Amino acid sequence: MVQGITGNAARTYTKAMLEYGTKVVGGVSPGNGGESVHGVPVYNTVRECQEQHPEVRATVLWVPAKHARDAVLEAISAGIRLMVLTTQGVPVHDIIYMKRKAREKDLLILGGNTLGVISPGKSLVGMLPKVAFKPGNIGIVSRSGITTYYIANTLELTGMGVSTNAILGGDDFTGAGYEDILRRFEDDPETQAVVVAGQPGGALEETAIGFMKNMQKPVVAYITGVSCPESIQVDPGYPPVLPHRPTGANKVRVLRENGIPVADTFLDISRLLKRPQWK
Amino acid sequence: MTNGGMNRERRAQVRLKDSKVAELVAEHGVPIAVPGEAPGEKPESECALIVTVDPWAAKPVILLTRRAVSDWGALSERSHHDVVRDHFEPGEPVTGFVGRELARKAGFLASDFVQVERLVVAAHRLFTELDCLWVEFNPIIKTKDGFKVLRATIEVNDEALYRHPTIEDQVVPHPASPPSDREKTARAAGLIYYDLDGDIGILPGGMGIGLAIVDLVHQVGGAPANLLDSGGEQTAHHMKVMLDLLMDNPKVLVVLCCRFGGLSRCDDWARAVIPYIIGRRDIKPMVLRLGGNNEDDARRLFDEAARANPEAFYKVRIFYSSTAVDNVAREAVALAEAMKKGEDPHTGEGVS
Repeated sequence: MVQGITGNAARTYTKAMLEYGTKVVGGVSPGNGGESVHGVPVYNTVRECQEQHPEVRATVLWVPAKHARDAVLEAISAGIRLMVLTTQGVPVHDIIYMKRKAREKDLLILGGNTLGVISPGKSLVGMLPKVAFKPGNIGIVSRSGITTYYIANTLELTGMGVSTNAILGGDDFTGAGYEDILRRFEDDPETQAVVVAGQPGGALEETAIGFMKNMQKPVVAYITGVSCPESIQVDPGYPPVLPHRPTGANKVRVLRENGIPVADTFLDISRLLKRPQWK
Repeated sequence: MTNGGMNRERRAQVRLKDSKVAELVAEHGVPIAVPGEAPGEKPESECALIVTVDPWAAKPVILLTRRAVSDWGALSERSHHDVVRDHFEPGEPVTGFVGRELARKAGFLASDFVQVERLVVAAHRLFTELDCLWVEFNPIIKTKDGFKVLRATIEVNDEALYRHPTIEDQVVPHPASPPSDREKTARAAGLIYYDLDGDIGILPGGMGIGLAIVDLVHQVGGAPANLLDSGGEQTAHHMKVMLDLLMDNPKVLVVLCCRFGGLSRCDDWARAVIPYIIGRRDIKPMVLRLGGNNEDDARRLFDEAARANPEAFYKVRIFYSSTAVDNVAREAVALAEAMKKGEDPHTGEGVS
């Protein structure tokens, strides 16, 4: 389903998702129930949409930041398994509260500030451009969406493709963490190896190291911001609960200290994925 | 929290003015020195506490210590056992026993537990009520009259300011290094731009890929001259402003543009850039890489423009998604090196 479906961005990307083959069965827009967007029926509430379409398992939200918490909680209340929150500028307190509520019911929130998730050739939920991703067996999970375009392009040029590409969102606090997605990649028969793409700020990469170390499938990390001045990357008053300043260089160091291979360039990602010891 | 701490221009938190902080803290029942107040008698002891969001746990956390702290960033639980902490579920209040237990763990005298409780509860209430990312009472002094906050700092999540109209005009910008003239020009145009020390001007898409391209140039032996977030806009005016920033930088020898048409179109970008290349007489060598939506249309536009304006495009090399971005960055670095040696790197191959 698409929450906020009558907005301009939602209309545009609902059409793109339908053209890609995504099964968009309903939309939600309070007060606009009964309308239709690109042939998709619009309902007033998530529950109403769910009653008419009990097969709904995911929702993508194009709602203003001030309504994001309410819209996501509505989806959580209905037990929607995957929520893709594209909204930028969602207050941090809202994000961590929504994260808590989703975790309590083992539901997944991508975002805020996410471009969504795509399984090339199968389904797109969000705004990721279909032109960037060709089918294959490499899973990608990243905070930055645009970085994954270049990763996927480089994979294609080196004979590989993407099973699923999931964007956590560019902010320091997101609904899902890397481990939430890595766990799914580990169980996915269509994924043979995984690329973890990170950036400065927050602790999302570090908190997933324990899971990465124990994965059966190969993991290659790629962290941006390694060479940028620290003053641009992170605030000087970073939270004292972190063991190090969350710069790109520190994240690379910690990953490598824990045995996670970290690529230096986009082509290096492909080289590491093709290492003989993983065949 | 757009890019969190990664981008100081879109910093996620803003600081409240000291006068407003003192007012709010006092309203929550905590004795606090007013700004400019003269120091009183020597305190019996000092302590400090903060409430912030722990990125590791994605939960609010309270840290309490029985000393004033000059640099919280230097602390860690492993090396400073006198800092106690407690995490809280987002959206849940902190009641009195939490503060008392923190006081006990931190080693306060039992006779001080109730006062510490009040400080902890007040700080957490401020944190929650105002969508804060940081509430700091530091130092807190203890005198014969009890505990008093000498200095408090409150940083609010700027994305939540709309919910707090009474404090919207009470924020102050964070101190930052004085911007360079180019940085000032960029900010006036609504761009996020930072000068770096190198000679390869970088024009990517957003900040995320911008960092990646800066890294890439370093990795292949070059030196980026800047970090720039193009913001996604592709108008001719927008392109001119950004490209002028790079072309007018005397340090820049080569301009590297990497553009992926994902939410946008490559041909729109081409239509914005081509007039600039044709119109600017003193253009520096450019290395462009395009990929994504309408890539073929963009190629056709560049090919036509290059045929019609060979002199303008003599210094422009264009690559597409069939060339790995690593190798495009190498081209830019090689061009810059050739120029530093005084060689003319343009063999007439022009557009590739």
